[in-house]
Amino acid sequence: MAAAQRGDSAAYKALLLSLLAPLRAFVRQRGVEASEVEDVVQEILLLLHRARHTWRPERPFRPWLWAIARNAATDALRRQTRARSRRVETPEGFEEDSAADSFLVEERAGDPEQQLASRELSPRLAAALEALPEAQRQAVVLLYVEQLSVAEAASRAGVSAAALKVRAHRGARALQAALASEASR
Amino acid sequence: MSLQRPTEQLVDALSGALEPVRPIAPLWRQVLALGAAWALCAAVAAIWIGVRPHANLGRGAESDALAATLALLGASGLTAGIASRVPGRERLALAAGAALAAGLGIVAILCLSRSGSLFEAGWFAADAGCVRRALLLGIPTGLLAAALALRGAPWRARSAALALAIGAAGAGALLVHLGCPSQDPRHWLLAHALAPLASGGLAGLALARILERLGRLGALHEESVVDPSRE
Repeated sequence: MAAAQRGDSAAYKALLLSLLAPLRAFVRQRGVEASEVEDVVQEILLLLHRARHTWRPERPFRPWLWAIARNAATDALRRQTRARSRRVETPEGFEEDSAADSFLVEERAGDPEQQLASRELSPRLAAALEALPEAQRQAVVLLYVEQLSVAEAASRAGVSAAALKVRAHRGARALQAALASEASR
Repeated sequence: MSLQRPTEQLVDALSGALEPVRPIAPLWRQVLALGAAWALCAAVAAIWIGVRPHANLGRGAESDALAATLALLGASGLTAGIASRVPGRERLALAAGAALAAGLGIVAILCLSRSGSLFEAGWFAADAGCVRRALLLGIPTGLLAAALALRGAPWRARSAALALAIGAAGAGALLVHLGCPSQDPRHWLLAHALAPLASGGLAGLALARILERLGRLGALHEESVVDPSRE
């Protein structure tokens, strides 16, 4: 870790790779669902990366690491619990739309954007979705319409779980803002 | 998680984007720096308002209890705030946090014991002056503590900010309490404890928002490093 703090990327990579197995075991022990384990491990790695300057060479490494892992796992679990409850509810903006409701229930294979396009969504919802940037639209569709887990959606989009969550959050906010401004007109 | 971007790829991205970092100062040195900042404020206060512990300690059990409690609040709040941002120092943060809670409890008990007379006399210019001085004398320590917290781990923003701000307010209020010639217990409780600590709490909420926002910005920056295609 001291080498990593000095900027030695090879040592850092070796360290992170050596931590993956113990971190996966730790996350499983915390009661995280198997499908979510990799997400949480990635959250831990990101937090470790951002907090790497807080380790002091004279301090033991493991307590520092587990403190970060505990925090990241707790935060991730909390967020995932919230995200799950959000996904069970109909997302805001979709509730007035019977076509969207039926779309949420129906499971279809294939490209989500094509699925959306094939549905008769209310014009305003379809327009609001259409107006989103490509990456945000994809994240919203995968998470809220297809109701994939964060891990699955991130896998489908080919980005990290954290990146997907940022995109989905931005997309959902943009959708809400667009629908609210149209309703107020 | 994914077939397209497994965790090992994240490791590649993180190690590829690695930059050298300077480790934070040891916790004892951070606490020492805060103590030095407070001592500097004490020197300023000695010149400005004439801190005279020899005269003001021993003017009654209630005054001494309040002085001890403010000292406890200052030390425990600052220590808890700093330690809570250092991974692996949770026990110290918890112990200091418990001491902070105990100190706030003592202040609450002292205030409740005088709840009848505390507010009925109104708010005097002397009260406002002491509150203002307590907050001003807490600002340097608070600013240094905030800077140290910013360097810490990006978590527990709210609890760290609240502890730091209340601690800094308590440290400033202690100096005022040791310098104020008033013999009125109502004034001590209101202007040396309740109002400065409440103001410190409000400042802590504002500081928490800053820490949270900076934490989110840091997370987004990491995201852009890991996923450069992000818009």
